[in-house]
Order: sequence, then structure tokens, then C-alpha cells
Amino acid sequence: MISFQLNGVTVTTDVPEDTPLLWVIREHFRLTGAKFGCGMGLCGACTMHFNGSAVRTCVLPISAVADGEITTIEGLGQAQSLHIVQQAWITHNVPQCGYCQPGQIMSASALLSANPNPTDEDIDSFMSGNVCRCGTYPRIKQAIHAAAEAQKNRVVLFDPVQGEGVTT
Amino acid sequence: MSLSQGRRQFLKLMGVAGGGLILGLPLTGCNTKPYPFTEKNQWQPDAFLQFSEQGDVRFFLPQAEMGQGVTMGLATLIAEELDMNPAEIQITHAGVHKDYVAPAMGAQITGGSSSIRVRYEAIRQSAATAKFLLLQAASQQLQVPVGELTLSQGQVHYSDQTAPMANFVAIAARLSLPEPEQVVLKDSKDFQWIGHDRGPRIDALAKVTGTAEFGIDVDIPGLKRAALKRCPVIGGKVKSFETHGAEAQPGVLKILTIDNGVAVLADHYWQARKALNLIEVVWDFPQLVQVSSSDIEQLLTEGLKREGEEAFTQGQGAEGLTAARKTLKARYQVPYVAHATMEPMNCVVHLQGQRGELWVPTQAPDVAQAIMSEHSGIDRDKIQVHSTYLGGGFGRRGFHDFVAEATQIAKLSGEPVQLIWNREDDTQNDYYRPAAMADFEAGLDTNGQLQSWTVKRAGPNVLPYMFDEAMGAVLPDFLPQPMVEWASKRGYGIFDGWTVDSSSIEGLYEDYTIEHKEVRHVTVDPGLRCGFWRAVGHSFSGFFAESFMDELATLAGEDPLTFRLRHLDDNPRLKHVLSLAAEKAGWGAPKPGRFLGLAAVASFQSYVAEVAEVSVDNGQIKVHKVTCAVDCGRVVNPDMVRTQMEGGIIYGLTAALYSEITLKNGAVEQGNFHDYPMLRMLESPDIDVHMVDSEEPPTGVGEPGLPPIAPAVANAVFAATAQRLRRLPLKLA
Ligand code: FES
Ligand code: FES
Repeated sequence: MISFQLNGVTVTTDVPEDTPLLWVIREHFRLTGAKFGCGMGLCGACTMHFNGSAVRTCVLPISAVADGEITTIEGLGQAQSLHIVQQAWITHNVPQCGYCQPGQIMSASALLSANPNPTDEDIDSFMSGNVCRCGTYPRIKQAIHAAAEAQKNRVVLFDPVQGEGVTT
Repeated sequence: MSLSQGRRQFLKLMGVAGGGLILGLPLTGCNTKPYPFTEKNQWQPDAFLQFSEQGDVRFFLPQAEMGQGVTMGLATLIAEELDMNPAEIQITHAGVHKDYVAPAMGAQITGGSSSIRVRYEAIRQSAATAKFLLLQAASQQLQVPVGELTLSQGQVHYSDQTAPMANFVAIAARLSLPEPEQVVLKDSKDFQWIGHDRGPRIDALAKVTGTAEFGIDVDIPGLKRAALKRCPVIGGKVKSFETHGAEAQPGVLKILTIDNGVAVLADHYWQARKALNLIEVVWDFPQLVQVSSSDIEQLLTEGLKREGEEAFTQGQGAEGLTAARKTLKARYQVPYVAHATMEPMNCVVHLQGQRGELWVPTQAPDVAQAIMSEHSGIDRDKIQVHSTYLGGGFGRRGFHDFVAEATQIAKLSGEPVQLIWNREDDTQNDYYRPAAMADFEAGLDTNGQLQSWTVKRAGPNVLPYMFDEAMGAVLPDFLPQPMVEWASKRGYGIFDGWTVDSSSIEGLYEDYTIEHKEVRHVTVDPGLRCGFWRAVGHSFSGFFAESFMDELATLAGEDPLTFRLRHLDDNPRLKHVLSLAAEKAGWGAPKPGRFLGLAAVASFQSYVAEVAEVSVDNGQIKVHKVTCAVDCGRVVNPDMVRTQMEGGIIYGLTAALYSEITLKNGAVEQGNFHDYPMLRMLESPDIDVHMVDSEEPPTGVGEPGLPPIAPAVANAVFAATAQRLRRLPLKLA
């Protein structure tokens, strides 16, 4: 029996210890935001936060997260409570097919909490573990800068009710 | 009159009087099958739109959303005619119905950058007709002349009053239909949404919160998960196998042999995948086992020695070369490449006696339905198809081998099944972009003007594979299955006799004004299956023709831009984007250490030119910036056009710099992103997109951004190194 915090709630599971976290979250806890892309830690589609850091959960055995804190895209922000990175993603029309984007957003939000003012080079090196086959990289870069800026100035970039940005 | 009678009459009127094709309705006009997801007590005037008495507007999206932005594009057209925010339109992926068949496609296929082009008028007409009826209904109810009423933001406005549109839905549903000419589409000068960026794409919110449902996310009660071990050579069969205890692993329900492999069905995917690793299979290898990549090169080289079939001739054809003052020959080559959609192939199949349901990310739901029918024995009509969002398509999801597999597993096991491919399955069981090799020869006259252009291409064709795939969906229901199979397996036989597959030669010769042209084609198919890949034939022909054009400019001793412009007088739209891209990129004045290359390609009725800014250090090619100019007629959503240019460029750049599928004894040697790499953020260039302001009918953008990028980069590499790279992926000596 392994227990951990999932989006702030304590959960337990009795799956075999080598089961990758990704599949436990998707099939046992039915949170399907994180995606399966490669199963080898090569694409970042499965990225979640483990104790605040971005990790590739397709290669992270469930045993490794015992008593830790896991945040998924569902826990980062929902439609009515969007994280600033999600807001920036919307205003910059980042998602195309969208499949890689939960992973991209989890990486980007981890980057910003570690480094609130990333340079282009910081973004390049931090985000290069996340593949986007639709080619949204230029917009991801712009959106990260926009989110960093908004975070600094405490600006809301997108409110789904208003459909646009409002300053707080 | 009941709602459904009303709808039938609507369709009949539209179909007959409106010239069915305009609305995308069958010419018979008479519709007997209900629409798949119609809800009770809702007014559904046609296949596309549904109105509730609460005033909700629902759009049945007839095209696959694979990232290209078609949801936003088509919703914008509806929003424009109904004067509402596209974000307020509810979207449902349409199921399978003849009325959703894309005009000129014959099946419900999303491809060929066609959605906006073929549906621009029809979807607006649909929304404008609904608006017409709602205003008629309001006029009756309010006793106000219809000319004094307007509809916007879900409200009917008259004098200084308003009433909710919802109040008039029930009456509108009972009205008889207008003659199509009574329905007036909005004048383009009044457009509020078309041509403007007034909000983010409407699928963005779901996609950034992880709530957008892809095929892999589908869950239904009792669902079991499957993984499948296939022959390393596509097409191999199971001779025998050892389970090594796989059946006793936790969660494992069944081990099953299907057409092309051994499947493990389990409660959970990871259990199925782990148990599958234990199984050892002895294979019956297909003929392809005798083919390796070196053989393919050899076969293509041999093929080019053959005369081939005539595909196009103009003027004196190849004879024209004899009068040339200078001639140049060159041979170009590309490998097979895989689609590598971010979401690996998957689907959910549920068979329930004589009925079935399929949840599938697909570019052709009716083809998926026919394939499930073929493998389950359930009538096509009795199979409900639920399309989901696609985690990338790029042509791969026009093929449904994974539906055939999942259906067989479901049939043998009696369970609802989700089959999930892993990355290796996906890379090694694709329908690949054909390898191709082409010989060019062209001649310049005494003025340095191109006077002849000949090209012979050798390689496989895509059409027979598509024919095989889609036959079941386009043939009538009543044909017995063996006949469908017979017809589809005839693919190559039927096509090779009477035509050259246009996707094998498109883009090799069309764009420039040259007096004598000749195009020949030699079909050489080593046996690795092929499919449509983003930009199809243009994905290689753009590289070939636009690199060769640069070589000819060098031969003529002229700047590549002015040389091209001199040959584009009959192609003003391409000429314009080329000039525009060159101007915006600062052509002729590269930064120190940087080199520029350009290319322009017309494809899918759109015109795109790109300038690549490149540096070369220690044999490493780095693309810093791409300047792109596009003319796709009237722009519906400017930012969607930009995103598609960006996406096409990056997809094309991955192929230009990295992608190559190789075979060893028939088996694909690449498996995952370490040996089949993708462009990443680090290597991604800045991209600057410029759109031509145009009143021409809108055309597509999903593919046309791709063809110019490989030649633009190759041409820049030539500028930097004087090395002419004539094969992809680009590698410096
Ligand atoms: S699925 Fe985990 S890194 Fe690709
Ligand atoms: S948006 Fe499609 S893979 Fe990134």
C-alpha cells in the first residue's frame, strides 16, 4: 500500500510498486490530463509535479512517490481558477492538437516557480524535454515570458467568464 | 408537421433547389437516416446546427480537429452569420452520416487542407438559413415586419426592444423552408469575426486544463485494456507462441491471437504491457523481410533507368532540351518518414450483439466504421462512431489498422476493449510517406531563361493503400464483404493501368513558366506500406523542385530571387508571396555569419514562400529564423493561419534535419524519440508570418506551410557552404 498527496488530497493505492505513476493516475485515479507519448522519458507528455519539480511520470515507479506530493494539470488550475501559465497559453493560442500541452504547462509552471524571470536560454534548456509535434515552440516561449511578466505585475491574462484579461 | 418532417422537408428543399453540393447534402436531397447525435426537443434544421429552446446553439463539427484549428474556423463562420461569439457555440464531433461527407471527398475525410475551402459557403449558408427562419418566427410571434428585426448575441432586436432568440426556436422549427436565394449571406464588409482575431481559439480552454478528451482518455464501464505484439515486419503472421506465464500475471484476462499478432487483455494497460513482454512469438514473415534500406536505394536507382509512364507533357517535352544553350542534371532523394503523432494510435471498441460503438481519434469516421464492420460482422449502420479530439493527425489517422486490431480483440474476448499502441508500435507500424528519387534535367536559353524542364520520379504511390483502406466506406452497403475485399486488394492493379497517382508527381513541375515540360513516373514499391503525410507529394517535390531551381539560378549566374521572379509571370500569387517573404526577411543583406535561402511552393491552392536564416558551425546546421509569406485567399482566423504556418515549418524542419525510416530485413529500425528524433525547443527557429490581404475564396493552411522549408534551408546551406545537399535529411559532408 502506497500513499501520497494527489492534488492536495491523501490517496492510497495497492498497485505493484513498479507501476509507472502515469498509469496509476490515468487509470486508477482517472485523471487523464497527463498524457502518454513515449514511455521512455523522452517527450514530456506525462509531466507532473513531484514535490514541486517537473518529473516524467511514465518512467517514475509509484513506489518512488510514497508520502510525496503529486500535482497534475487538473490540480494546477481548472477552468474557473486558471494558473497564470494556462492563461498565457490561451491568450497566445498555444495549443494546436493540445496533446502535449498538459505536459508543457506542467514543465513551464515548474520553471517559473524555480525561476520567475527566465531568459530565452533558460526556457530553451528547461523546455527541451517536452516535444510538441504540432510545432508550438515559438508560442510556448512567448507565453512563458508573458506569464512571467503577468506574475510579476499581478495581472490576470485571461478570465474565461469575461473572455479577456482583467487587472487585479 | 413534426420536427422530423420539418427537417426532411428542409433537406429536400435545400438538396434539390439549392443544388445539394452547395450545402454538402446528397443530391437526392431526401434523407432517411437520422443524424447520430440529435437530441430530443431540439430544433436541428440541418446536419450542422441544432438550437435548443433555451437558446443554446450546437454545431456538429463535420471535420476532425487535429490541431489545425478547424473548430475555431468553422465556428467563426457560424458565429459571423448568427452575429454571436464563436466561444458561445457548443461543439459536438459529428458522427457518421452521408450529410457530413466532405464535398469532393466521397468519404468523411479531413485532409488535403480542404475544410475551410470546401465548407466556407456551406456552413455560412446553413447558419444564415437558421437565422432567416428564426427571424421569420420572431416576426410572426411579435407581429413585427421581418425587415425590422435583427439577430445578434442570441437576441432578436426590434425598434428599441429585444427578445431572446430562444423564444422563437419552437416556431422556427415548424416553418417551411426558404428558397436558398431568399437567404442572404453577410456582406464581407460587415464581417465582425471573419478576418479578425477577437478571441482565443475555442478549444484552448479545454486543452490547457487537461479536460479535452482524446481517444486515449476514453473510459466506459467495464473497459479492459489491450496491448498487442506484432511481427517486426509489417504484415507478418503468428506461427506459434510461448506465453511464459503471461496469462498468470496480475490483472491479465486473456491472451488472444489475431490477424497480425498476439494480444494481452488486462484490467489495466500497464498489466497488459508487462505481460506482453513475456510472450515470445514465432513469426511467419511476409515478403518484405527480404528488403533492407540499401535495396530500396538500389530499386529506386534501377527504376529511374526505366522509361516510365508519361504523366505530363507541354511544348515539345524532353525534346525541348535539344535547343537549350546550357543544361543541368541533378538527382534528388528522400527517405520514408513516419508521422509520429504525439498521441499514439488507439481506440475503444464495444461490441454489443448486433450493435457496436467505437470511440476513435480519426480523420475519417466513416472509414473507421466500415473497418470495424468488416472485422466484427456488424452492419455499418449499427455502429455508432464517437470521434474525439486527435492528438495529431498529419494523414496518419486516415488509416485504421488499429481499429481492425481492437475490433478483433473485442470480438474474440467479448469485452469492451481499449487498444493502446506504444511509441515503438507507432513508429514501426505507420503508413509511411513514400521514399522517392527523381532525376531532373532543365535547359536555359541564350537569355538565361528556363526553356525546358524534365523530371522523372521513381517511388511508391499512396493511392493504392488509400484505396485498400477506404473501399469499405465508399462502396454501397449491400455489397458482400468478399467483394469489397476483392476490390480493395486490387488497388495497384486498378490504378497502375490507367493513371499516374497525382500525389506522386504533384509539385514537381507546375509553378514556373517554362515552354517545354515533361514529367514521367516509374512506380517502384519496395513493399513498405505508405500513406498521406503532411503536404503529401509536395513534402518531397517542394524540396526537389525548389532546390533544383536554386541550382539553375546558379547556372544562370543570377540571384535566386530574381531568377525565380522572372519565371513567375503566370503565377502572380506565388510571385507576390515570394517578393513579400524576401522583402520582410531582408533578402540580400544577411546578418554576419548568417545565410539566407528561399523557396516558394503553391500547394493545396495556397501560396507560400519562406526564407530561412541559417548558420553552419562545425558541420552543424542551425536554423535561426524563418520568414514566411502566405496567400490563402480570404483569411478566416488570422492567428490560426499563423499557427499553421509555424506548425508546418517545424514539422517540415524535423523532416529536413532528422527524419529517416530505415529497414533492416523488412523491419523498421527506429522505435522511439531517441532514434527517430523530433525538433525541440532548443532547435526551434523564430518564425515570422505575413499574410496577403485577399478577397479570393479561402483555401487551406494545414499543409502548405511545409513544402518550402526544406528547400529554403538547403538553399541557405548552399549559400553558407557551397555544398548542394540533394537528399533529406540534410547532412553536410
Ligand atoms: S510519455 Fe513520459 S516522457 Fe514521454
Ligand atoms: S499541440 Fe499537438 S503535440 Fe503539441
